[in-house]
Amino acid sequence: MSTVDQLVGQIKQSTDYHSNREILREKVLTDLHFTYNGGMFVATKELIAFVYAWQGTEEFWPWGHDDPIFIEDTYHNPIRIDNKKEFYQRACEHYQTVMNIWHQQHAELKKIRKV
Amino acid sequence: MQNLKKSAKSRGILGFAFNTADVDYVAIANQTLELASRVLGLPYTLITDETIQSNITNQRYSIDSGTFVQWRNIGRCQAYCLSPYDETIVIDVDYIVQDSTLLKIFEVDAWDYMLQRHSSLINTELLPHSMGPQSLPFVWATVFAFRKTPKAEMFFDLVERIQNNYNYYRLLFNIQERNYRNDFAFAMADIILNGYTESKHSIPGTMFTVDTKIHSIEVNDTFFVVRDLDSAYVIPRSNLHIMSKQYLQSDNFKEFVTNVTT
Repeated sequence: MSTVDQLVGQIKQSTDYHSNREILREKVLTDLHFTYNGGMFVATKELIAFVYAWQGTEEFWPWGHDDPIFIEDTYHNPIRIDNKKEFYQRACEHYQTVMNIWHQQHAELKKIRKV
Repeated sequence: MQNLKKSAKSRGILGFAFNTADVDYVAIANQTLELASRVLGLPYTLITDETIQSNITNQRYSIDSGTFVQWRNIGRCQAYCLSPYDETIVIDVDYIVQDSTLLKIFEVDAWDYMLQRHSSLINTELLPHSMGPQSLPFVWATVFAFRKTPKAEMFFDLVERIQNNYNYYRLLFNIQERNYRNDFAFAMADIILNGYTESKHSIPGTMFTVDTKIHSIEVNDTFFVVRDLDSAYVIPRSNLHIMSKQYLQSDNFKEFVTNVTT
């Protein structure tokens, strides 16, 4: 086999890290979806920060701390959140789990330049 | 004490398979539905046979042979009538279920049917976002779900009407492709039924599509390594839409199924 043929063979065996990385990211975006009280949410930084901030302002509210809040889900429905703390914890846990898996898989992916 | 007034809803997976001269869809379905059933923990029903009659002769472009081959994709509109379940996930026989994303939709309130709106090719070429330059946004009938509700029934009735009068609706919605496609019929029915807007409910996330001539798919704990003639793609273990029917009928695919189930 000539050197050129060998090179062609090696190139065919290679895989594109950037393409694989984007596919993995798409999968992570899917995995970030979680359900709560009949609504579908995505555990984004914005959602987590919003719920956290909302809890922090409770002491300034003229009305009761235990009042529910309504958050729009991915299907454009307002979902009633009675227990803000529970929702916050659920979103955080889901985010953390998915991001940990992403980090692990991304580290593995970086090693796989040739397959 | 158990509440006897409230009965649990039945859930399951439905598949359609009609053999053609080139492809044994039933054999493929037996493997992919079994796989989906194991992953999702749901029973499945396969709809097959010659009983669904239609005078529509369809063709699809085969990436394996590079030619147009026979395609029997009629009858999907009967999913509502034929499903024995209250809540049904319908998958194409070339859709491999490998994660539990689809189960999340059962925990969502107030929906009648859900379609797959986002798909991505693993070789990162862009898929069409609409059915023509001045047409509707694309949806995928590869995987969808429905509940037995009046609106869902209306949706499937409308799909059947579109199927039976496809040329009229094709021209009405400026669709370029002459072939009847369930994807197109579903997109048209969806937009008509929702007052000429898209319904908000869709299956979460992106469907990964492999449209190359696959040689093999290797499995490890976290990734699939998909090899075609030119390259290899490393993708996370997730649901996959595989276009290569030749691969799905090969021994390599049987080996793949064995590997992911053991």
